[in-house]
Amino acid sequence: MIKRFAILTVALFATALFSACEKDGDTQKPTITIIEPTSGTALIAGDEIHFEADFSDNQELKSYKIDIHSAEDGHTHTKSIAAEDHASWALQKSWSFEAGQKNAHIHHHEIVIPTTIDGVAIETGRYHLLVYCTDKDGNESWKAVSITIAMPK
Amino acid sequence: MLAALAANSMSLAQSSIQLNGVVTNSNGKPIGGAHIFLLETKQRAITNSKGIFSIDIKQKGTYQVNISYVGYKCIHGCAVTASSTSQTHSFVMEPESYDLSEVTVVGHRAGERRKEVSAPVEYADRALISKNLGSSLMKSLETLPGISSMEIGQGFSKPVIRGLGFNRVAVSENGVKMEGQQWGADHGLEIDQLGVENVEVIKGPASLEHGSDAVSGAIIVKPIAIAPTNTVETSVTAIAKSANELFGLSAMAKARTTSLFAYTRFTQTQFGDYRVPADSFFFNRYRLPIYNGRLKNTAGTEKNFYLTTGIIKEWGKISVSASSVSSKVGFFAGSHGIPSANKLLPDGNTRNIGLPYQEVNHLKLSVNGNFFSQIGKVAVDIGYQNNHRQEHSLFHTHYPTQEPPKTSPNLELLFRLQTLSANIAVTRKISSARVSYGLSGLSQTNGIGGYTFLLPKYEKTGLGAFAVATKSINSKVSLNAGIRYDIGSISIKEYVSPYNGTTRAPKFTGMYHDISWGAGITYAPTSTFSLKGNIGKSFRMPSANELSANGIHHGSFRFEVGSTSITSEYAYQADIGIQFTSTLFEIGASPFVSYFPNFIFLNPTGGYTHPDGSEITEADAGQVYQYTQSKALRYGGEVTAKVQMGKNLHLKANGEMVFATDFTYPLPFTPPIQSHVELEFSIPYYWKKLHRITVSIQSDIVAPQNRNSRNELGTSGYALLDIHTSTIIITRLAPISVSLQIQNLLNKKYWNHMNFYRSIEIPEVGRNIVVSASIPISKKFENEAKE
Repeated sequence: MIKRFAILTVALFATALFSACEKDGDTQKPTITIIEPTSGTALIAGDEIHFEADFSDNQELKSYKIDIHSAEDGHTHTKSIAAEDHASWALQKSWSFEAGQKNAHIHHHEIVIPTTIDGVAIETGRYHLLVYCTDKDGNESWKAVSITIAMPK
Repeated sequence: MLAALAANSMSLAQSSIQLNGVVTNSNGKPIGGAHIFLLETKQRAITNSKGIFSIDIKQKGTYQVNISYVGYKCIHGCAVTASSTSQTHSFVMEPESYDLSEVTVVGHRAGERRKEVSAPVEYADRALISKNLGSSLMKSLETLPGISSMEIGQGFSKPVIRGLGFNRVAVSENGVKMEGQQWGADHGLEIDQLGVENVEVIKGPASLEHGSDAVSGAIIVKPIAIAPTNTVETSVTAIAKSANELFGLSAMAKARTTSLFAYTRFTQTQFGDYRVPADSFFFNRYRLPIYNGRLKNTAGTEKNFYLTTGIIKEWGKISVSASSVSSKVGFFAGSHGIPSANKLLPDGNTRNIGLPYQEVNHLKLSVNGNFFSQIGKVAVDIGYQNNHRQEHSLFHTHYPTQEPPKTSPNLELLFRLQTLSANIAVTRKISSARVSYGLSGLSQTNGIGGYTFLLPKYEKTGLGAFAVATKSINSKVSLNAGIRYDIGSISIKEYVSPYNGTTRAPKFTGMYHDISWGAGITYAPTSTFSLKGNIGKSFRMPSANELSANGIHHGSFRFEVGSTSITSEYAYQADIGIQFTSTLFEIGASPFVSYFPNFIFLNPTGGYTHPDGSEITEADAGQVYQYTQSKALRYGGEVTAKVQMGKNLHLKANGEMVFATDFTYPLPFTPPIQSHVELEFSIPYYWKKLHRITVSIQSDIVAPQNRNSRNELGTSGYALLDIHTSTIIITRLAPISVSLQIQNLLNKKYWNHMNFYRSIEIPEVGRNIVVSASIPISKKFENEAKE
């Protein structure tokens, strides 16, 4: 009994020591360089956003996401109780990179800023534009720029 | 005649003599820390670690001595004759029989129990908790080797044993396992640390006696010791802390006639935003301000109430208890959603609790009985718990049709977990073996509310049966072995979003069952050396969040998705304990290894869309993490050393490490390699009006943690210096215990790898001066007339 017990214990410890080798998991995050819009860019409601960015990863890029929300009331929420006379606009949209890509240059005009939501004019002023990016192992990074949105004249 | 005269004149000449004594238990082992009270002179003393006390008395004669110590029957009015200083009186204390049951052994017999049990255990008593008084119970216990805590601001913390926490550590208080939202990153243990007298921590699988959640260990908060017969004890404790301007008061009263007893405690604390030694912090390369060195909206309040009453007779005891632990604590303004500079602007009040904040109430009712019967000692614990947790955050939504709720519009998440549990255990001797066996059952319902969704409603039931036996082979070797079977089911209710009609949680029913087993050996060839070993298998049923979470877990910046294909988690563990004890020093080592063939963890998917293909529209969601299972290996251990350096000085040091991997990545939240060193100077006897003076310098030396999981920040190493002093001031009214601590003396700016706020790079609390005073008053009814 005691002998078997000792053998089992020794075996478990030995397994620990010899199997402790860990495959080299990738923990390096992808990098994001936002080219457009730059911080402080003034945009007009109704226009499309010219989005341009460089993404790269040591292994393989997976997906990216653009998150735009009002920064006017000092918190990152999108439909506040206080905002009754104007609608707060927010956008969350994600894209996947083509398989195998280590570097990607993205340029599109897919995001259109609405002027109204359900007939109510959107809130103007300061907005945050966040860009998130992941690699295939789930390492994630993000960058943010501040933009302003004004109504067309 | 002459001799008598001589003796008399001697006693006059010699202004005082000493009454010396030694207090031991029935096995002849000394009892340290026992309270001695001389009825005639109202003098008090406390025994040292060798069980010795001495009291200076004015006159020779016969004195009546009361001796008390938790867990032992009090010695009342034992008459001793003080005639010469050289004479030492011996007192033998008998253990209180109702405490003998294996599951309710109290901490003072730690030394004995440590020798008996093969599992690695740590003990903490009131003195240790007071000496290391942190922001919450687990923070105060962190100096124990192998024990750490995950802190959420000031006032909340979660237990971590050998690097595992959440649902992998069971916590029981008063015989009932605590059932709250243990899976949550911002959930803290709902226990009033000022009401804790003795704690036992089992490191390693404790599933056999504590159920399937105790895969990595158990924290057992012992019942409060019953007052001595015909006594009333009251005490008031006051605490103040500088770092968050905390003020706390706790009042306790306990009484006992011959057979009836009662205990009650009320605690209230209030604290402001806590100070950090920094005026800004870096978050993702953005520099954000910390105004006035205080973290905005980390203030809070805590209000706790406890009542127990019962009857104690020759047949055993039975008690009824009710407790309520409530707290309301703000979340740092930058921790919900990505921090932005204007969220951090001070609001002119450092003690208010603004949005976001959490409000938790834990109500617990229990009936506990211990009976002596022909089949052995029977322990019965029946408990009802209602854990009501609310998270408030300014209303926000992405669904155009969602309007703020009419009542409590800012209530983001609500969980109401109700648990009914019952355990019965029988302990008896069968020939030379001590055997205990029992049953436990649980029925649980989780209700939800709030304007967002994270976890569905569910119902859970469980039933377990266990048997454990310990047998001494000879005076040197003892063996133990046990087996447990658990069966449980979880039934998850469907949740369909009323705003866009998507099914956020599909209806699911899962049934899980398996066997856990363990065996251990204790080998003590000499009184100075002992060797222990344990091996076992335990399993844990998947929890509701692992099966069906579907939403943002705030503060962790990720969208968490459960998976109903998750199966029970298994762990195989082995550990060894080596201890060498001599009069001058003690050294010990306890390595462990555990292997999980299917460890449950949150895996980053790298995607921003839901596994069901839909786009995630919640703000600040981050990428999707999904619960998955993988092989995992964990090993490490603790080393401890204690050196007596002369009569009043001793050095204590311990070190701990955990290595955890899933064979590709390190596991997250693994504590760094660290050590705790303590140099303590103490005068265990009286010095003028002071009793038991201790001054200690403590240092925590923590190595960097660079073995990180994906998206987990590495943390640099640091060393901290603390000073702790305490004494008992003898006054006419009562002996007043006072303590003064300076934590983080050098006001060092550092980061704790295990802190909830680590991900947003908030440094830890700066220099913190903690003062506490406790005034106990005890009275004996029958002596009232005499006094």
